[in-house]
Amino acid sequence: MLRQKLKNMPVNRYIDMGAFLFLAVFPLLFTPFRTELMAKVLVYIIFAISLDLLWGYTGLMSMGHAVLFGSGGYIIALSYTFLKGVPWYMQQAGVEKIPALFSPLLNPAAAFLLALLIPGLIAAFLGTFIFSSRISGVFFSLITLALAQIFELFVTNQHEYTNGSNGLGGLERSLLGSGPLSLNALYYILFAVVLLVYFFCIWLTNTRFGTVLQAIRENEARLTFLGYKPNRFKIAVYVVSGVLAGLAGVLYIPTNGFISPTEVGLTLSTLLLVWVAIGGRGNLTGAIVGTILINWAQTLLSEQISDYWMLIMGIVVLAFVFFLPAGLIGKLISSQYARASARRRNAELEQKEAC
Amino acid sequence: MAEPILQVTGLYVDFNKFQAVSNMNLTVEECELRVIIGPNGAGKTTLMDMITGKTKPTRGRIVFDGRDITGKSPSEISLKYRIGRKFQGPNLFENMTAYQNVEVALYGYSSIRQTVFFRRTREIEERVHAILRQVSLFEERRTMACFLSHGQRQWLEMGMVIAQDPRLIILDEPTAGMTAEETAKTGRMIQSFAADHTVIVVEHDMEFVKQISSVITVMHQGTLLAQGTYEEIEQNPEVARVYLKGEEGEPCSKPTT
Repeated sequence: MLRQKLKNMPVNRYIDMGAFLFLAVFPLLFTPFRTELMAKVLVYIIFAISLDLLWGYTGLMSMGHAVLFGSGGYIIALSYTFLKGVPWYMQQAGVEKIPALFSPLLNPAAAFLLALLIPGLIAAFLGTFIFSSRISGVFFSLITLALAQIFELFVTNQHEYTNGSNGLGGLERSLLGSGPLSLNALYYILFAVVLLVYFFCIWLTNTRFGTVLQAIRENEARLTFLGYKPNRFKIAVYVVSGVLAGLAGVLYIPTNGFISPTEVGLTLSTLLLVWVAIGGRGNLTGAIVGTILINWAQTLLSEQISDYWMLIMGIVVLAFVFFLPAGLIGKLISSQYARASARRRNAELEQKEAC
Repeated sequence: MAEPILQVTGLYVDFNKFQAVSNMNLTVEECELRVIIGPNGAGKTTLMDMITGKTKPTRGRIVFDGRDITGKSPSEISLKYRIGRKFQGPNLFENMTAYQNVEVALYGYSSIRQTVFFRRTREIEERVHAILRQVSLFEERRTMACFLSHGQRQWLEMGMVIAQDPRLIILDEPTAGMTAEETAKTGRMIQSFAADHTVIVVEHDMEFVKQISSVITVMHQGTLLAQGTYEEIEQNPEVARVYLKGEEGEPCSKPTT
């Protein structure tokens, strides 16, 4: 029974298992320096999965997903900063004590909940506004793109609260007020969260809800004639994706120890699109593999050839757009599908001949 | 006699002053198989658009099963009033399997809560399989819709309509582009649906219309031209003028000098 189930599993689920095995043993095999980099990649994996739900499954290409990541991240970063008293940049701006608006951030649990809730609310608000005015396709992308730019400016300009373009630094490696964590402890907490998010998304995309999301991607108009209200599904998946992106933002703070306006705007949003596009959309594996590969390629390339690694990355992205638009895993799945259907056809032909 | 299931009275619609449908009347009885024919641009598809909520009529009333459905939304018409429709052009979920296409169409699980807690029980699976067999796509259930042949795609759409478990089935040109053999098979399928459903078929192919033999409604220039059996229609001189014998006498032909 289990063996049969394993045999019927699509090829990419084996890749997932391989990737998770690799991630699980990574700290044992590599130096703490590498482990620290990989911990950041784990956070990015959660972020990439959140976009895959929205873009890969539902066909909504958000070009400003870092807004949701960054709002979760900034809330937690502020909370960590405030816990050490009124920060110097606030005092410099003449703010003597933490404003009442920010007082919930003094409680680590409340800050954590807010950091998930607020990205979800932003997504709900945007989704309601965008989808009910029948904005779709490339216009959705453009609005989210503009939003990323606006949000980045907003965070930069709120200098007395966010320390502007200098960002918030010196954030300690702890979670939910746990006190300092060792690197390995943090790494395995992140790994566990990645697994939870992954299995949640596997479950969600395999439900009928997930099938409807794909149907929205394929032919939204047809769905309305089958009794569905696609807008509600789009808003719902946007909120789920937003909360997951916020969660990634929350985890980013103890992992990176620093956040700046580039992490809420265009730069990170675009990078995220590249990871998911190169890995392949709509199968979760692509998001995971793409994130790992690109981030490592980036690290190793920039160590070797610090000057023009960006150029090489650019060429790789172009090559994918032209020759492998489905991404690595997308290509792999479609070739597996083609082989399986050819095998089925051959089997049918043989059966006919036998008769 | 029972109330008719569908009653269209004095229906008008215009697109930028072009009268696509004007003063159209149509009555369909429960469990009837009705064929609607008419030359290109007669307003057949527009009429179906109005019945299924895709287009809002400018004037007139559509009463389905005793309830006014004029101008209601497509999702309400399919969910609450249960009118299912196969479109004229290909209208599938291309990168999904035949099985998934039918499963998405299954009636009664269309709210978010219902979709999240939907369980793929043995019964559901058997229902989907039975529908796929009915449209002879069981062998192709794992094939992506975009890899099906043209005829199979039309059948898959019909399977999706059946999965909606509708009270009224509207089939817009179900045989367009099919081979003679496929057309005959489609005719048998439609007759099997008609055994326990009310069906409206919009068609072009006269051979096919003859095969499924039922009451025929002829539309011309957005309104009702004639109605009757195949023989009656064949003998109707008006119909012969506009439809069967070609296009001569079209009012849109060049004005005589």
